[in-house]
Amino acid sequence: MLKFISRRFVYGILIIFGVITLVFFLFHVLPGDPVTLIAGQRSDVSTRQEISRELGLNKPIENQYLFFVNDLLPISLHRDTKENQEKYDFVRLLKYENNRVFVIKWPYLRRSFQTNREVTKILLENIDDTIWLALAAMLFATIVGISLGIIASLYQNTLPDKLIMGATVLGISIPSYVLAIMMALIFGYYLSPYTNLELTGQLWEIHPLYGRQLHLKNIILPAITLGIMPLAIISQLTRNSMVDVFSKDFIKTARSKGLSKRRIIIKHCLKNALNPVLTAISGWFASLMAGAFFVEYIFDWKGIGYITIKAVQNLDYPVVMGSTIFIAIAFVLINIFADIIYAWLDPRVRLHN
Amino acid sequence: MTQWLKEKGLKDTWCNLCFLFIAIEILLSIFIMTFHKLSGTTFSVQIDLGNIGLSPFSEGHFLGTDHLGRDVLKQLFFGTKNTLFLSFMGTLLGSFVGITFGCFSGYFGDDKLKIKAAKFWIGGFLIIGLAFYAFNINTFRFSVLIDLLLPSAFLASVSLLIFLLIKSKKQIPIPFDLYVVRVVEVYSTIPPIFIIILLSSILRPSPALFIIYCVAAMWPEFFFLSRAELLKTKNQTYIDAARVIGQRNIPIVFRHIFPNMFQSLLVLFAFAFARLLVIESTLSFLGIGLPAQYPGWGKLIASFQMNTDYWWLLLFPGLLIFINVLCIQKIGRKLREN
Repeated sequence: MLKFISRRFVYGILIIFGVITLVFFLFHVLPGDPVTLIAGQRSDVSTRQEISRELGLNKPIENQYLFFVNDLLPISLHRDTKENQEKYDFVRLLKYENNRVFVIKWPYLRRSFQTNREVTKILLENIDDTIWLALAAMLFATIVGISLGIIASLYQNTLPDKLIMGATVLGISIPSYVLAIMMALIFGYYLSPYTNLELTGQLWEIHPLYGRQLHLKNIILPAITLGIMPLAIISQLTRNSMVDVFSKDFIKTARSKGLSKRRIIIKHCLKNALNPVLTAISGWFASLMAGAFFVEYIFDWKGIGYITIKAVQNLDYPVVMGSTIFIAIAFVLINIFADIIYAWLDPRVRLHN
Repeated sequence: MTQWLKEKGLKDTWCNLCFLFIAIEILLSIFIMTFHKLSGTTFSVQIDLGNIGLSPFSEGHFLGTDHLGRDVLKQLFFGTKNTLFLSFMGTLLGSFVGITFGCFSGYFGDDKLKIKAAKFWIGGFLIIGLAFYAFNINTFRFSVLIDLLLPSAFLASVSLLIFLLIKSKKQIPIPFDLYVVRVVEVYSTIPPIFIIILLSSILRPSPALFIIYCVAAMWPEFFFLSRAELLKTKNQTYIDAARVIGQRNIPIVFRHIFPNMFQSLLVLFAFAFARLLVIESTLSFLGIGLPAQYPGWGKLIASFQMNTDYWWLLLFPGLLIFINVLCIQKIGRKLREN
């Protein structure tokens, strides 16, 4: 097991390295002039030269690539100067020749063109909102989806089953941003006096008198909107695997032993039916969360997705690059954990890889 | 084709309706395109500031107008045409690229593709030289060409000489499968919608570029599916039999192996098509999609955001996306069942 985990991690690091390479070359080979984006259209030559020197644009592309990777590594090699100390905020580890030191630091993802703040800081500030939103949505989707799937499988081929399955088909087909607009408009605007919800809002809001306050009700609408599609998929999966399990022989045995129906469903069916569902959820978690981008954008929920889309609209390349790498790392980690869970549940996977 | 679809179970009324709807849409789009070409006039949607925000069923504008007075029905027509055509072409080309790579990678595996050592080295040097050239093309000067080409030409000629002298007939197996799978695995870490957003953040898409972006986003899925399906059928006896008869590699792949995986590829095609429809409308909703002269569903919804009193700007395009995705997914699900 330990060997399996360590191999998965090494493999994950290689994949992240590949993504970094891909992102770097995408943003450097394709046309576009970062100096103009930072300095604006009207700028003198010396300013432009200074900016291009700071970004390392005057060097050949191989050196720029090494520079970029060196910036991203948590343990890296830098000149020991005061400028670099301020820029990277590092802790010295080991001296190396030519006044260079091995340092430990946060990955440095350049600065935003728009606000001139460090991208790493922007991302770290906004990651918690996205995590809370994703967790709330997933919790909602799993609980409601599994219970709907069980209900549908119990009333197989009758009206409740058909209603629930029809609703899940609708839930899969509707694009997340249309659904988000409709939810925001209906529950946050037209029915606002009854539901007491607002169109937009953050988890933490700063009140002029009382300071930073937790507004839990603001997460309800985005989480439900984001959860609709996973919910539909999860309930379909649960229903199908429950129906499969119902026709197995051990259920007949349990029934002929005289066990109560509730006991059969909870102890015998659910345990077997939920196994594929849970592995599917953990495997798809990453792709299900792609919808979070638009939901965040529409509800003005200041998470990673909101920032990325704003950056794409404003041509703020460092933020887009940073968040791409960040998201890729997150997806790789999630996939590794899903694999580990899968290998833990099913030992055959370990042997095959 | 119709016979085949009938055999494969398109007897379901709902499914037939879905199929009919999509077919009518495609026929209408083709009709609009040809009419557009024949009549010679531009059919662009006109801005008409005299009729801003007319509600549906008003005179001359059946589905109303938007905040710039453009007719919603016309925009929906052209938007449907654009989106369907671009997404369909994107999926088709993406599947083509993915299937080609998948078949080659699965069929040749790690040891089947062998080339002579001399070719391998010369080709390698040439590729490295070309890569340098490609990355320095922005700052291209003649001296750069000399700087780069001379050393690589020198290296290539040296290696050529060496191998001519030795005349080695040693063959090097190329682990084609390994390389391609590793690259695609890196690539597919980023979900397709994000790849398209990323690419269009670098260069705003024109229609042709949008198709290229779709191909870039969609081919990994087709690659993995076709490779897996091919590995399933690769070791069957009839493939060995075909090889014994003396058939070549490419006919074996496309005549004997491809028909076996056609149906599962068709299912994936339907779902990818539906997903691309949503992605296209999402991009134009965010304002990073096609330029303004190409109307789209997403653009109507984006203009709804400017004035939320114009409910018809959300309802009709939203409904249209919804119905399209529903129909295509229904067809895909039906294909998967059989």
